[in-house]
Amino acid sequence: MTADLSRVDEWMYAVLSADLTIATGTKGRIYADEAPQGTPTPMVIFAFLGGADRLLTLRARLTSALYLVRAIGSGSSFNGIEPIADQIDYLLSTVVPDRGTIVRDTRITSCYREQPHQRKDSTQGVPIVYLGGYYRVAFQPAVQ
Amino acid sequence: MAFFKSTLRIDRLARLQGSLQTKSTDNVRDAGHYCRQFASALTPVRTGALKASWYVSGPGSESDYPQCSAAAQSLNPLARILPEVQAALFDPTVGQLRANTGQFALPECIVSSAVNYSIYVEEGTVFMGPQPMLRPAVESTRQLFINTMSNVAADA
Repeated sequence: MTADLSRVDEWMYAVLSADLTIATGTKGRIYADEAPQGTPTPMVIFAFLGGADRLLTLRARLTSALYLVRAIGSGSSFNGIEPIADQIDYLLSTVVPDRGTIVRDTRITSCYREQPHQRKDSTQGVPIVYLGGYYRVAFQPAVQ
Repeated sequence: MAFFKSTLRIDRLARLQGSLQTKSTDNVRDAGHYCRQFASALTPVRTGALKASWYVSGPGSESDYPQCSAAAQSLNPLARILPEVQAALFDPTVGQLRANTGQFALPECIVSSAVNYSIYVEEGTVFMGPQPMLRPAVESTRQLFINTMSNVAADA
């Protein structure tokens, strides 16, 4: 058994950063959990929020993890980050083939959006908008 | 020759229905409080208001919102206290499950936080990573709840 969430983080970063729309739209600003202080927007942040294991055998388990993946922009309008959020959803909804995709020793078997996400708040007086979704990622050990 | 035939009928459906309702309500209550405890255990503490703010509303007219919101307010007077979450607010389809009095007509409950900044801690912000509390609690509670509810009919 492995600390497989780091493999999922690696896969998600690779998927998002390899896409031209997202890479150019964010100028490569794609982060796990949080952005460094002072980083300009737009950007994409993904974060693990929770998960559960289902034991298949003594050596295998199927994990279901929930990720919040969102485009973040400054201002009060979602228009600027809408194309990025659209592309995130397209990518994460279509990128995993039926047979799954392997990241080192972990097979990611499915990824789909479980809930939409949209939020507005502000940081240091600057309005911030968030647009994306909660994605359910299922994975298991690739070699048993 | 005369024959006598007697039939004894025992209508246990009503009793079964009552038992199902009671056991379902107990399971919902247990799951709600387990979820709240789990979320509370994961909550980061500075003033303690967030940790104290997790409440369970339901099943029925049960709610510890007044106590939890008051505790949170006393621990952090600057915290903005949110009104108690009503089921119909976040899930319109749940509205039909409420009785005329506004109480839940079916066994269900809500676990939520009474302070306004809980979402920033749960989901994070641009420059602050998330510290999820409720989501892991829900993930853990889900399987427990499925297991206990799957035994309700057998135990009734």
